This record gives sequence, C-alpha cells and structure tokens, in this order.
Amino acid sequence: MQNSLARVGAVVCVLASTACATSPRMAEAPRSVGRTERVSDANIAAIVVAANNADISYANIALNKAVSAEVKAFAQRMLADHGGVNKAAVDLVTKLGVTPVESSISLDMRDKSEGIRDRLREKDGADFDREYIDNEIEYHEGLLKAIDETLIPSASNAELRDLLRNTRPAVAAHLEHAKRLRPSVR
Amino acid sequence: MSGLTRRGGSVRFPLGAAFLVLVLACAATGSAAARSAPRRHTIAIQGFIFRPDSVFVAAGDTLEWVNQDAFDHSATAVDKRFYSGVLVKGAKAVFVPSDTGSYPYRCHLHPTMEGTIVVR
Repeated sequence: MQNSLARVGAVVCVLASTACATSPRMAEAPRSVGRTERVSDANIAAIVVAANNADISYANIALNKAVSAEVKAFAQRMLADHGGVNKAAVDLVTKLGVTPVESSISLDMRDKSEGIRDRLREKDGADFDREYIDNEIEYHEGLLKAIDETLIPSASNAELRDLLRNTRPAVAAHLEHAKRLRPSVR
Repeated sequence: MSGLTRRGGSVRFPLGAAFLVLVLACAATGSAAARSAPRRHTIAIQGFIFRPDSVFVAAGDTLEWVNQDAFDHSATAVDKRFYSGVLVKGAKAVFVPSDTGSYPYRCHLHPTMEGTIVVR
C-alpha cells in the first residue's frame, strides 16, 4: 500500500504547488489511511490528477523512445485515457471549487516518480520497452490497490467516489493490457 | 406432395396430405415473416466490458453498440469484417451481418475487451 500510495501521490506536490483555496465541502473530515496518513477528499482529488499526470509523463517519454509499435500504441492509449480522467477530475474539482491539497505522503512520493522518469530516460531500444512496460504493470497494480483500499473507501463526496469507481475499470484494463504486452518485450 | 397420396388409398390420405400442406405453408409463412422482421440487438459498452459479451443473432439482424463509458472504444472484428470506428462517449455504431458464422471482436484501443457475435 505504501508503494502504491507513493506512486499515486508522487505528483501531488506538483499539483499542490498550483493549488489555491480548498473547498470546505471537500476538506472536511479527513480519514485515516494506514497508520500514519490521513486522506481528505481534497487530498484524493490531488492524488487522482497526480496519478494520471505521472502516467502521462511516462507515456510521453515512451512515445519518443519506444521501439515496438505495440508499446508506442499502448503509450498513446495511456496518454489519451489518463488525459481523459485528468480532465474529468479537473472538471469535477473546478465544479466543486476544490484544488488539490498536498498530503505529507506526497513529498517522498514525488521523488520516486521523478526517479522513474530518470530511469526511463536512461534506457534505450528494447531495454526501454521492457522498463516502460514493467513500470506500467507496477504503476497500475499500485493504482488499482490504492483505488480499492484507500481512495474509494476514503472518499466522502459522492461525485468524487463515482469518478473513482468509473476510473477503476480503465486502470484494470490498462494493467491487463500491459501484462499481455510483457512477453513481447522480453 | 403427390408422393403423399397412396394409390387406391382411403380419403384419409388426401386429408392428411392437405393438413401437411397447410402446416408446411404456415411454417413457410412464419419463416418468411421471421426473415422479413429482423431484430435489433443492443450491446452496451460499459465499464470496459461489452454487455452482453456474446450475442446470438440471425443474418440480417441489426447489431448496435452504444458506448456508455467516458473513454473511447471500438468494436473491431478480429477478421476485420467490421469496424465501428472510434466511439466516443455516447456514440453508437451498427452492423448488419449477412453471413452465418462466429465472429470474435474486440476494442482495438483496449484489446482486453472482447466479445463474440454468432450469426445463425
């Protein structure tokens, strides 16, 4: 869970840096996550957008570096789908008057996301394809776990909860897609 | 039909034959009616699943896919027999199969989404 939360929260800081006010509706009653962290709706909103931004950033690297046509197509799909979720999330938080609020866990998580991008940039050719797909599997496994165990159970706002529930099948499909690609990039 | 009539037979056979003709005529009419009234089958694309994922239809029936997801999808036959194009949220596509057979298809954008059309 820590790993998954680390992944999805990795870009929270980026979002929080552009944040302004927090909606009273979304900031209320943060709930416990694990033993040490508390996640409010405002935190969750940030995590949703952050998680998508992270995968979009990986996909952008892949579009430039991947050698396999299938891997490139996968990256293109990640760009489109996660971009779509991002837009839906931004539309929702705008409608609710919410901006993402950084949580303490996002600080060390951002470093991890940056580390992944650095690692991807260091790889070339088939090595890159393998690294990218392996990371996509790990990323989507972590995100799925975070959605199931943390984000949906913690969400107070019904629309935010619906967004999470509607996003879950996409994440599961991406994970399965990445797993199917894995043998072709060995 | 004449083969049903026995030479020198009683009146029963002609009546039986007439009855059989009537039954066959009704059946033929029914078949013709069925053929002339193709059905429409709707397949919802929802939660990254084709619902239902298997559809049994008759040649000439209309299949309609409706994308209820917020994500783009497609219905693309594995043998390329049909392709819906990219279906954005709320978009629909139709296909009228003319040949019998089993046609697996998938979303070409999300290849883990799979379905099958059986045309009988």
